[in-house]
Amino acid sequence: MAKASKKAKNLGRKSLRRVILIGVMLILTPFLVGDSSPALRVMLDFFATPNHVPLFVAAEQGFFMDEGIETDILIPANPSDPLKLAAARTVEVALTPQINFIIARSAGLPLISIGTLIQTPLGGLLSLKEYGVEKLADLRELRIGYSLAPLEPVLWQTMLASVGVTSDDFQLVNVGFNTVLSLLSHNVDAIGAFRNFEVPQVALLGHEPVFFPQEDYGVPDTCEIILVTNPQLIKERPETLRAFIAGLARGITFTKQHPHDALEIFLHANPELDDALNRQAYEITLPFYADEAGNDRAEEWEKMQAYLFKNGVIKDVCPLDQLYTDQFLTDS
Amino acid sequence: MARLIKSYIATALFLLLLLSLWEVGVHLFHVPFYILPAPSRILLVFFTSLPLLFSHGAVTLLEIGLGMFLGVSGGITLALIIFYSPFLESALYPFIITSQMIPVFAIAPLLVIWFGYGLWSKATVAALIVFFPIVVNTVDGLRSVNSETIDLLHSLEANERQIFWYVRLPASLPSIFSGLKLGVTLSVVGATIGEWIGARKGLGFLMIQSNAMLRIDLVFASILTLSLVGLLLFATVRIIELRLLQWRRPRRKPKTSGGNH
Repeated sequence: MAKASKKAKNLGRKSLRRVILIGVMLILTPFLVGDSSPALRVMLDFFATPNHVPLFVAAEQGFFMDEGIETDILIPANPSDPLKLAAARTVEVALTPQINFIIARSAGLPLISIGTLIQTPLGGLLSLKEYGVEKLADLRELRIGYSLAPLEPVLWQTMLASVGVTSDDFQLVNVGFNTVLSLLSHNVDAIGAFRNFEVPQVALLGHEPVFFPQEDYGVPDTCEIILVTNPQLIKERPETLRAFIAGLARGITFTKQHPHDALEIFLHANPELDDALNRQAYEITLPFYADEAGNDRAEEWEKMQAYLFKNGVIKDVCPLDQLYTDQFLTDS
Repeated sequence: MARLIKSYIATALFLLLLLSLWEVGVHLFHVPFYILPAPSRILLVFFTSLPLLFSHGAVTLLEIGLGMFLGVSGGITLALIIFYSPFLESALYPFIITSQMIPVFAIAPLLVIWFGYGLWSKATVAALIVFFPIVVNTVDGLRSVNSETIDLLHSLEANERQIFWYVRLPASLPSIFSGLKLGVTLSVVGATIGEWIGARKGLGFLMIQSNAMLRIDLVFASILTLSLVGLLLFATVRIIELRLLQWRRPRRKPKTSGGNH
């Protein structure tokens, strides 16, 4: 009996030691693996959409390879992950809306923009004709659905204020991320939406969309998707970043010159996206890809940052040279 | 009593150890604040944002309360139906089990259409998660009475109603409380997930919004608040259990809870 319990004790001790060893190894693994991966890790702002066609074209056509780099395109689990992971250097480059980047910069994340993928705003307010909405002022006394505060309420208030509707004259409802559904089920009368996605989406479902682009109603111009990185990387691997921007610029040029081939390349890489909606979304997005992946509009950066500051979305402003750099753009 | 204090000291010491490891680890490995904030930073934000956390917490607590009420009353009713009708048991049980496999996000749109963006959709999500452990534990509890006891009562000419109130229900209370303790913990998660579908207030809402604004310290402060709410609710159920089940409090704690021995 005593012997048996001693044996059991020994066994227990042994397996305890083993458990501790495995635990330590598991904890250490991420530190050991670390940054050794040679490929440039690029995290999308969202799951793959036609917004990313030039990036996939550059990767699939070997434009990055021609520049001497390998790329690894990653999909985030959460829309705020790309910014966090680029700041923490778990990925080298992240795609993100310019506005979200300015917010992250003001929250203290070490990031800087190095280029642009989509150079215009894509957002705005979407309603349906069947709800009796024809012009923006028709939203007076109606309900507007949004996903994220405080940013979206600020944008929609600016737009409505530009047509003389004050924030007391309409109702804001948080509808989570099922925005289209809440619009179609008439839980709200309008939603924040993208002109290249939700607009064709409701049209394909047989409704008549009425869309109000944000930049036409007082919201400063902005880039829908920019490329950001950790400033440390600019010091350590400037050539890699230059190669990435050059490859992407070629991808954009190719996409604009051969729009049909570009789409087929994209759909071949993402077969699950081959449907009518994505094909239409691509048609709409085509004019908005940034020429040469360029990013050199100081006035736009200044205005957008001042706008976010004035409306209390960010608590402080950043010098422009800490927000973006155009040093990687090829001279055209 | 001394034993009770001793067990609290053990908890406090372990908590302190975990927090110091976390604090030291964050500084030692230079973990950025936007990936994992240090506990000191979280506590600071927790105390400076108390009014905010309190106002959102009150909404979540209301959703939890309503969800618990719906889940527990629905769960016990279903358990009774299942226990007394073998036919309905075989009809219903597979669906009750399958209901737990459905990710809430898949049916979120339906919930929103049926219940809107207010209190009821969150309470429903919480209730959907809560009712399952209640049903399973209650059925097990009702079945825990051994057949000899029932035979004896039948021979004493007790009717089923008397057997239920005097034997089955008291005998199943320990299992029902096991289910309640599980359920009340899950209800916190349920209400939070419910708020992710779309909400204007609540701790789950605060978490999503703070995460989008990269205020990760506030995300963790919300998690801390949620945990405190969960602990509070658990303690409440535990106190009610001790009060109600005084008659069966053993001199020494048995190894397993539930059952009737």
